[in-house]
Amino acid sequence: MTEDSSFDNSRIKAMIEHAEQQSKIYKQTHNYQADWLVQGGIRSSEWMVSFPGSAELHSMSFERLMPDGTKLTDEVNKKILQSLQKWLFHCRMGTITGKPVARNRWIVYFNFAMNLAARANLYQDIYKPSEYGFKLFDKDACKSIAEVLSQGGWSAALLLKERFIAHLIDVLPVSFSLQDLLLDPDSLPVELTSEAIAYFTENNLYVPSAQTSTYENGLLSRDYIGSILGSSPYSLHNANFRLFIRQFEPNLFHEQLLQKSVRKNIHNTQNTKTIEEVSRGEVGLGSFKDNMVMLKIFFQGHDALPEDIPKIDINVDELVHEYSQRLKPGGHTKLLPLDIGFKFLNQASKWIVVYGQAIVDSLIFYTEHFVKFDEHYPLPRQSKKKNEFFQETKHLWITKGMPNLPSQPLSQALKISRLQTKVKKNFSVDQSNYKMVMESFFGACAIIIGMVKPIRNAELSTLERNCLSTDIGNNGAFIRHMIGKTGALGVNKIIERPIPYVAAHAIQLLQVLGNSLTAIYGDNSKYAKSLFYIPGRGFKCPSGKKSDWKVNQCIDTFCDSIKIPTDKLGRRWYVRIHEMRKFFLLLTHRHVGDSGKELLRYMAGHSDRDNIDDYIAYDPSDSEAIRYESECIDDKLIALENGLLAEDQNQGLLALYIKALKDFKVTSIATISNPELLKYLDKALQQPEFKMTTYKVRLETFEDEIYAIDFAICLGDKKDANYNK
Amino acid sequence: MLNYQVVDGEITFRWDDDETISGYRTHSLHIPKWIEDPAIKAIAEAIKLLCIPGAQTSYRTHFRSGKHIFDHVLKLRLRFPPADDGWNNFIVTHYATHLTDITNKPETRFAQWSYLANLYKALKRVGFIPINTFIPDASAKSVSQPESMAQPHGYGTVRTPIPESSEFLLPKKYLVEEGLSLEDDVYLLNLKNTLETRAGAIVECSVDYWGLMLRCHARGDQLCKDISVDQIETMLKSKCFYKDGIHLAHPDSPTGLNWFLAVTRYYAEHTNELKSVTFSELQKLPFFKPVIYNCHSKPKLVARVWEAAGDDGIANNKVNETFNRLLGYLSPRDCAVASAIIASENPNFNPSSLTKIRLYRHDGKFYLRGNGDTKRITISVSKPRARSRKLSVLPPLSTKIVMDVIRCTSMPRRRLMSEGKSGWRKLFLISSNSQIGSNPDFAKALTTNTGLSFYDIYKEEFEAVGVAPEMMNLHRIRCTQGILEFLRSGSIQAVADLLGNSLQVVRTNYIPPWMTHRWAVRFFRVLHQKIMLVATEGEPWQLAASDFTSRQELQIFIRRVLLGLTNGDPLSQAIREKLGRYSPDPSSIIEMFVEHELLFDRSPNSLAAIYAYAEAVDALQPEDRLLFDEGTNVPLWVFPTIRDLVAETISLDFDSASNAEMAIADRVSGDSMSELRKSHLRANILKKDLRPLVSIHNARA
Repeated sequence: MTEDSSFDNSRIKAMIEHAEQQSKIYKQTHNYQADWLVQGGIRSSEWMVSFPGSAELHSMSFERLMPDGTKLTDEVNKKILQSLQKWLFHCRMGTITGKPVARNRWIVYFNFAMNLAARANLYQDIYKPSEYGFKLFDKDACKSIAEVLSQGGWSAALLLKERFIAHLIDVLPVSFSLQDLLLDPDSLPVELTSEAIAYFTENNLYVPSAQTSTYENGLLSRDYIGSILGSSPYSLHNANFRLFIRQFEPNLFHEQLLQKSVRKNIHNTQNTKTIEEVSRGEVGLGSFKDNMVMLKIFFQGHDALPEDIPKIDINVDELVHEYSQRLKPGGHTKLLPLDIGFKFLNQASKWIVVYGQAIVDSLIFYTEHFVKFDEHYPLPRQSKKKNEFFQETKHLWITKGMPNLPSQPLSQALKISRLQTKVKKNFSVDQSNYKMVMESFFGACAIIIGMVKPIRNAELSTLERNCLSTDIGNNGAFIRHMIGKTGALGVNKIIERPIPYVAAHAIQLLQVLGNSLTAIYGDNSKYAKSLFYIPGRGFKCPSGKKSDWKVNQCIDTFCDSIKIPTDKLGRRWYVRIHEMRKFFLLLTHRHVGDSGKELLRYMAGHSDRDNIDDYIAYDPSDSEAIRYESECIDDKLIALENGLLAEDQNQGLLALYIKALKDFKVTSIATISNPELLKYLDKALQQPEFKMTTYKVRLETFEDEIYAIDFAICLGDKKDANYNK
Repeated sequence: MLNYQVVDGEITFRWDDDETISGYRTHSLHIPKWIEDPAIKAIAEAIKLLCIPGAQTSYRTHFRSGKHIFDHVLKLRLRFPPADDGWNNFIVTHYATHLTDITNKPETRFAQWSYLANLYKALKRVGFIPINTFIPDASAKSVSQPESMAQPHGYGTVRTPIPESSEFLLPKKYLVEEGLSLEDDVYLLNLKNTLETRAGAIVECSVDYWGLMLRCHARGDQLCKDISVDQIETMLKSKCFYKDGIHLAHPDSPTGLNWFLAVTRYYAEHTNELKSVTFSELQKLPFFKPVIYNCHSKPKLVARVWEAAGDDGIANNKVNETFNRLLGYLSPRDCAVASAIIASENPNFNPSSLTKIRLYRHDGKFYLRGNGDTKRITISVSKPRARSRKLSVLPPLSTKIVMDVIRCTSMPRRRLMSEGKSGWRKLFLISSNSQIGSNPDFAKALTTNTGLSFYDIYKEEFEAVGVAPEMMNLHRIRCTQGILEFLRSGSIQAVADLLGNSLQVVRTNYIPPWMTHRWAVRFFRVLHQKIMLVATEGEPWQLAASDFTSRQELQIFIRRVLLGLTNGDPLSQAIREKLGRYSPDPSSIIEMFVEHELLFDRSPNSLAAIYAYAEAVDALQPEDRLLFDEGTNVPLWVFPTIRDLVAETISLDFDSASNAEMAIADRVSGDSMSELRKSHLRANILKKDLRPLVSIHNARA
């Protein structure tokens, strides 16, 4: 059988299986029963639902606390419960939007429905939900939802802060006037917060956010907050609301940063928001728009459920436009500073070439022994035994010597003092432990691959072990991987792209390691064929769950190991794979110019452009690289509008800014929808009168000398001060 | 208007079509007899609704969808329509049956299903199929496919075996591509050479062929030239065909062939009596009949024709072509060869339009007009004197060929014009066994002619350079030019410009994916090394982590990279900064001359400025001379080097100079050594005034 026909056969088989699964989802009768709704129905307090391709049932609980203290499943709320359940059912069936909603999206619908129920309950004087369900909702109701969502998201729409303060006054022995406190909920008087903290401590409401977190019991239980406010813990992620809660979380306090509540790394990541940013309380344009879309779909339910849902037409674009002034445009992937990018490459090369073999050999050795320890000793003793054994043998592993760098014991080179530690921060920064070394090695390999071959997160973590090939004609190594974004007719392409020796060497090391480890563990799972086969806790056989998360964790450890400099606020650049992608494509595009666009598209593995966006794109050769540049310019335009860049130094940028305002007939860049503006910039960048050069700029946010790429613009006769410098 | 009727177990669609004699067309679908009328109606109506917005030519696709449904029902003896809750099952079953039906190719099955899905969706919209029915499309989720790419012999990737242990890792030499530090990819260079040789062979053989053909024309002219039209007309009028008892055109007569050719030419060019220039047509004429319709003289005649053409005829071929060749008329093969030359030199013509290219005349000049892929192209045959028209001009060889063709086609051109036939404007007109006039099919005569093809004639030459018959057509010739352009420039845009095409078309049609792949692979390997070397500069592991096996190779690579840096982009800057110390020492400026162009004004003032600057650079520390001048973006050490180069050049002793030195002196001095000498002497005086004005403080690393 030829490769082609076997491909066609496997494809047809997959297509038929997919169709059979989908067909089952559709199967229903008219009384709200369907194959996927395994348990529950209209007015049930819980649904057990199945999703295609997954054996596990997913539980959806409707037993939500409403703002007035009732539960959604109580008799008094039965009208809205029924309406929402019917609506959710129809969404899943695809009767409202025309096609069934995918799993994750549907769960978003569910959360939206819960929020909408709470909103109706909160304003029951107006909407009288117990009597009318949602039928008293009208255009004004939607308008007021849009208004409040644009100001503070659902935490504002559901008065979460206010209700939490009211709860505190109820339970604490304090005498504050609620009115006074509500004037500035984000800076509550210390008398109140300290009482609250004492109360929470007493009631054991601080939780360790994760076993290995850098903080201890710093987090005020989100389950608890949720139980007070009737929200799911997931809907409490809003940064501004977290900042509010932070008043009661002294362990997580940071003067300038809104620290993440779970942190395993030694430092905050470069993406940690500053308190200043968060306190503005801006709502993201993307999330606002998504909520408006959801609102629209809810009222579209009128056609299917005329008895439950009133007919209201929501014009999403109009609403987004109306409120866009106060909404925050979506952010872009940050551009890795040049120096930090090169440092990653340099250190990753060192780890692979100098330490690689020693790490791989030792890991195989230890795993072989530790598996036996796990058999012989009870769990509490295993760790101690392993560490003892490690201390006896750690001198055995020797790094690779080369001119000007004599070989030495690995433990000496990397100052390995222990086998492992639970919490990174408990560990002296001058020393390392073997587990950290192992993770760093995986991280170094991931970084080398990600930096020289634009790849996506999921593509990297699912690389197969036998992904390396060479050309029989010319030699030279290639990496083979599947492109995550599907091409024509939903078929994923497998591509082979050139990689340098150091990446090929890294893959070979990972191959040896992976093959040996799976043999030692006797692992026959699917994960056992992965290139990034990362041992689990205590060097035990890994489960293979969350493989992309584990790769990222290894990258984080590597960033800590090589001590990437931190900025003035103490944030460290824990590089992400899409940032590497942007770095590579942007650097290369600037280097080779537009003639290299074809090559970049090839390298990035963009599928043939015989699909739809061929027809909407302005230029068949436009590329991701240009989009990355547009993103950088977009960031600069917004900075200019916000007064963060001086006009006299940025005449070219200013000219572009004015031109954009004129072309869009608006008075503020922020009111232009982000995709529109990016499309506009993609095009503008191609115009002959537009020129752009790059220059190196020292980042003021770092104490160390860190240089990054910045762009200078020349539009017509207007030039930025740094243009062509 | 599309209508249908249901009669006798058949749906018959009927629609208007002016092109048929009856004025309409019909199409019938056979219906399994157990299907009831409402269901038939629903399907017919849905098909009709799908057809109406589309073109008539696409009706049949929708009828076929209907047929698929009926056939499926018939074959499995299914109840139709199924019960409301049976629809999901019905459609998924149909889907599975359809996709696994091996009588069609998979692509056909996918394509047909997408039309079928449209019909089912239409039925769902009108409520015939319940709303909760799932209709799968022809896409395959979660399936992966390798990129398909035809690789030439000897290339292709193989998976490396997974090493047993870290002792068995593949050595570096297997994992790196050789020759990254070379100037051009060896393979691509070879490939380019191969293609150039082949393309060259086709043109060379064509030119050779054309030359033979013209010589043969000349031989024929020579034979006819003494017999005037007057003589012929007098003779024909008198019907006096014999002289001294022997027919004028009889092969035994010493001037027999002369008369034979001259009279043929007379009939062809002055009358419309000949349908084709062949013996069988000629023998219908009283003059020729006695000579041709004569088993005694005809073989002799044929022999005379061969003899007259000598080596310039087409050996082992039908005599008729050689006969025409002596008369100066073009065979299909002649036209094909001419078009091959024109296609090689003018790839912007679309090959299928090239054979139908039209000839225009304006103010005594000729213009060709044909279609490119995207637009109409007009090319001037002769160089327009005034730049009144923005026209491209044919290259000299093509011009010569076209002028020859114009000359050789005047006979058929006149005839077509006088007969009022539209073909007279076509450049290529032939005289063959069957016709005199235009026949755009002539291009296939490159490889498949009746008798010998062009390929047959030059088989040895073509085989020697590896040109196979299937490579020999106008499309391939054009495509090869496109690939060559890509190999020269590495840019698909350049190919698109050359072929007058869009990028999209070029990418899909002209550049084999493998070529893009090879080119890109090399490009990225070089780029990877630039990035890696910058990142690891100064570290002990630099060499080990690079794709190079020796420090020396690595440095050659860096030098090549440094010489090629032209941009001020971040990576170029980083390379200059980190790797600039490997910069070639000043003595290798010769190399820069080879690599690049350096233009400077030779006037005394300009030289004086360079010299003054050079002296300022002389005063610097050696390491500072590696810095770059802000204004010109040139490394400072260049200025003293230029000064020394000029000084060396004018003091060169021509008698003892080597060829290389002479070549350099020529390039440095431009057209006049004495001018340069004068400027140099003057500049040495002027520089003293300029020196105080020069201070170097804005150089940067």
